[in-house]
Amino acid sequence: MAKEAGRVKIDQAFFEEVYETLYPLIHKLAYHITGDAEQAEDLCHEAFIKYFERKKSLPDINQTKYWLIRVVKNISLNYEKKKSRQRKAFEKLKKTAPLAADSSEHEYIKKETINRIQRALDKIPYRLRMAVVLKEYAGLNYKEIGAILGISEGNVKIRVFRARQRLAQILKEETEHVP
Amino acid sequence: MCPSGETLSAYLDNEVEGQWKKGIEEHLALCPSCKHKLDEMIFTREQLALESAPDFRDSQKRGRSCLAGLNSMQYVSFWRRRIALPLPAAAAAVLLMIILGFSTLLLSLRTDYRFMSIRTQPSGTSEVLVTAPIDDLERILKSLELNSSRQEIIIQLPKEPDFFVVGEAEMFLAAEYKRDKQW
Repeated sequence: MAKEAGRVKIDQAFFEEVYETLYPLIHKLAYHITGDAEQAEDLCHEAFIKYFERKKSLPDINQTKYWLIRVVKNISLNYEKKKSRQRKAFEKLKKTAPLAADSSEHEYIKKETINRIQRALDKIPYRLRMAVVLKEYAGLNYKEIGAILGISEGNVKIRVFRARQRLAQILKEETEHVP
Repeated sequence: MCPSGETLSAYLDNEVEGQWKKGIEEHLALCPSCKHKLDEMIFTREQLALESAPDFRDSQKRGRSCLAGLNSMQYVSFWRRRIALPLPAAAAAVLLMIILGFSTLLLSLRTDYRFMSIRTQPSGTSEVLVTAPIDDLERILKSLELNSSRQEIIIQLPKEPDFFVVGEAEMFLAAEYKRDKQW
């Protein structure tokens, strides 16, 4: 830690270590939460900028990991709200102008290229997705997930189970519909 | 009795311990339905593990250059921070400050205008002479009314009746003043 012009800066070497070690994990989580590579990158950069601008350093890399995941969770919630507004607006537009199919077709092709598992993840509610992503892709236990999401361990247990249930159902339906 | 789906899911995540874990394991060995449920969960988990995120390395590089840009920016405290302001806007702000300053000064001079003198009469009483602007008449009357009733109040109008007609109705009424009357 070095004090410079009234601001305590995070040690450069420690920052490097955090960036190298945690970027892959944060990027992976951001991608599975948003389902969009560009958005995941933006989210990741924003989280690390927030960390970079932090006035107080965190005790160790593990605490930094939880802090960054929490930041990603908070930013992704805003993104989720925006996405849901866009989806509603798109649905409305589709009703009023059914001929304007260009963008929807483009969107469809784009979606098709994304892996089916990610598509299934996109279909489940945000709160369930968040819990299962933290369980499966961050390897956190229920206690840690609960602390990050601000919910009880019992609630994490329910969310993870429901997410698995919904995902299994969606994947099953998809397999049945494939000709 | 079969464990709930939530319990099986927690068992899969290694979140069930001790006797409970042993109980579930014993039950799974005997109950094909629960075993099937657990296998389904394991399958979903394996499917999720197959899904990989896009390569992060390019994104990480871009992030690094963005942070390097931030790092090169020198931190300037709030009081030393410079702001860009268009010249006409700055000139207008200075002009506005000057006008506001002058008008405040003039206003304060106008309201503070008073003259006062105290003369002691041979009888022992004091005579207080106050010259006040006509705008303050109402305030003067009110304050005199509130003060002791022993005071004798004389309001003397100017010797030369060169009043403006506007805004002096109260004074005209009080003295039954007529413009053509000679004092």
